[in-house]
Amino acid sequence: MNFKRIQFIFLAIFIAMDIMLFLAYNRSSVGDSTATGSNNILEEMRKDQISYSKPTTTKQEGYYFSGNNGEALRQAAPDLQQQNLRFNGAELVSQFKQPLKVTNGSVKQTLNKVVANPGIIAEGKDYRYSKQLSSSSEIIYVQQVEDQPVYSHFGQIRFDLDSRRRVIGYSQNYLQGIKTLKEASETISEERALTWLYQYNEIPNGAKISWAHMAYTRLLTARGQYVFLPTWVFAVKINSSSSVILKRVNAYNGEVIKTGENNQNSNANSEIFTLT
Amino acid sequence: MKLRNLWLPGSLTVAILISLGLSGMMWTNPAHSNISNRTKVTKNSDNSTNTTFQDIYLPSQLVSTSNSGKQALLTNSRVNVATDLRDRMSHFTAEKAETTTQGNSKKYLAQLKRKGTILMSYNSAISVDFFQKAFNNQIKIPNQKFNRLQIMFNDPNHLYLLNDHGYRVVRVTLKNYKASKLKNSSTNTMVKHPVSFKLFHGKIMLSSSKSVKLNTYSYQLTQQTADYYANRVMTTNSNSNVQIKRHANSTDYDDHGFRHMSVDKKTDTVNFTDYNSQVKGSSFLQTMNHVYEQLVMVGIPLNNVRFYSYDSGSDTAVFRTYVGGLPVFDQSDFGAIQMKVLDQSSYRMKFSLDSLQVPLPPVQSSATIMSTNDLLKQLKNAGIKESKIQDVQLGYEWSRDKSLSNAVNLSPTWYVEIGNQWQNYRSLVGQQ
Repeated sequence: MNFKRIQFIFLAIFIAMDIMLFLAYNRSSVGDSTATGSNNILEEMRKDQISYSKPTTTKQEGYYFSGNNGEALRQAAPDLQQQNLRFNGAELVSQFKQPLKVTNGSVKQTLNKVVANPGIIAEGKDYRYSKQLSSSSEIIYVQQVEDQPVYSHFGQIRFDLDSRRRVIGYSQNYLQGIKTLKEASETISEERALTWLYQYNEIPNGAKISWAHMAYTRLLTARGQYVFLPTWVFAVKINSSSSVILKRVNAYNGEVIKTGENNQNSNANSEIFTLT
Repeated sequence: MKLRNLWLPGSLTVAILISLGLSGMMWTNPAHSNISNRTKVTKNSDNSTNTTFQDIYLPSQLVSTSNSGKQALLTNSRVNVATDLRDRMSHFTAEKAETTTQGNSKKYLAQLKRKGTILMSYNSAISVDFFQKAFNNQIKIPNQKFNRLQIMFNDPNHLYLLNDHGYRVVRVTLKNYKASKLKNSSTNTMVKHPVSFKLFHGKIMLSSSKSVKLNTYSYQLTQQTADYYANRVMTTNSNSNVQIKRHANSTDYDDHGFRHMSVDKKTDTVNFTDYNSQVKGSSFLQTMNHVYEQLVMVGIPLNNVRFYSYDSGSDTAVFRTYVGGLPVFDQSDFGAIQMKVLDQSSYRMKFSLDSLQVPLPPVQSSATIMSTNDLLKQLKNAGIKESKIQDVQLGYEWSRDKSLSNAVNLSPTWYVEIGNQWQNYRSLVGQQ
């Protein structure tokens, strides 16, 4: 009777041990066997408490192209009505004579009509509303090249909102003389770009990827022309702060593109937004 | 009664055995020893793996012939014509092949000029199994050599394989191949330059009767460091240290084993020899496979690099940088990469530290090149015998920009092959 009881206790202990051993073995083998695959890296990101929505794995095509801020806006300026405008370098800065009222829900619809009107906005047909880049004080329209958005302050319309949510004016930059520099080539998928950004240690633990977009951004300036290439732009939100840092990954080779002349860093905000 | 007494000790034994087995597996497998101490893998700039076997072994030259018989050399503008056509003509099967003509140069030339076709040419003969892999198709015909393949717009059931050597034309009957895919191929996105095939002292030559207008290009020069390659290829023999010898114009790396690398600082070229690299076989496909694998192993950026030619006599493959669908000459005296298979277990690879990755806006957008007739006249006036000329080809000249640092200008010009060497026509007519 007593011996049977001891056997029973032993059996229970061993079964528990088996389960433990099996779990430990399983976990370690899963972790190591796919160490090179991106799925495992995504898994690791989860462990680092980085939150993101499932990245796409499709590859696209994109171009290298060049363009600059030329005289197109200055030439169109005399035809623009209902506003007082001036130029700040190549940038057109304008104030509406009559502020536009926009309600929260209809910002896009109202401004789409304004942007489409060649009597108010020059070259408006080339711009699209960008929900992600817009904020509570600024509505941003980005220029489109080759059916892809350009995330650069060199090709943007920024509508300023006042405290009563009225559009009081805008500033605009326009990329012209666009020339593709090379035939279309395949880009990497969002998943590859995200895992590389992580592997370059550009995403701190606990951060959140708010959104990820394929967009053209500026790589360099040469011979008076800005050279753009397709990039994956990631909005990284760090837990402790409310601000969003934009990071961009070269969509051809996966390198993180650094911004700035002397003090290079991976924060692309100054390249994409105009910081005031 | 007996069974009831036995189940407890029985299952206990099983449980003990399982636990012994599991702990044994964990102890013996070193991969499972550090469960929690995994570190992030850091990636060094390794861009070489983006280029596939299919990408590097694209045909070198594309010529279309319209339904009215007008021939045109195709170059890129918005799409890469070669990859586009390759993708459109993949996935067909074929089992039947017959030789339609052989040894007749006139019939061969007529085949090259057939109306409603696209002709894809390699500079050297390739094999059927290589074609199968490079174009991802299921062509099952006796292995043979050819250097051009011709597809028909009006006859979707046939494909022609042509070999300049022996003027041989082989007709292949295709299955499940859709010509419609090709017909709406983006012919309007290609840039066409009027040309025509000619027989020139028994050789096939692509000539243009009028001057040709071609795009010029400019690229940022990307230079890989010698250390990058030294780290990649010289640190595999863990038993010994790499010996580094620095000379005035070069640096030698030696691993006291199978690998030797020498970097020439004057020309920015690397000479790498590997004496321990087994080739699986000596067929064309196996050689090309081996070459590709070694290029990836060494880690040379291959974005704009493509196969140019292979000389079976010296077992040497040449790769060149391509821009706009045409090869770049003058990058170094051998092209972008030259790989010579020395024997079954060793090879010597020469390559340039320079590569072209980021295009820049060119100074001029295009340049006009004289016709082939004018070229031949100039060469004749310079005292070069026509019979010595093996071939002429349009290509890009590599030159460093004088005002913009780290910029390379690529301007189109004629290249002339004499004595198996490609030379800029200007150096031949004494203009340099």
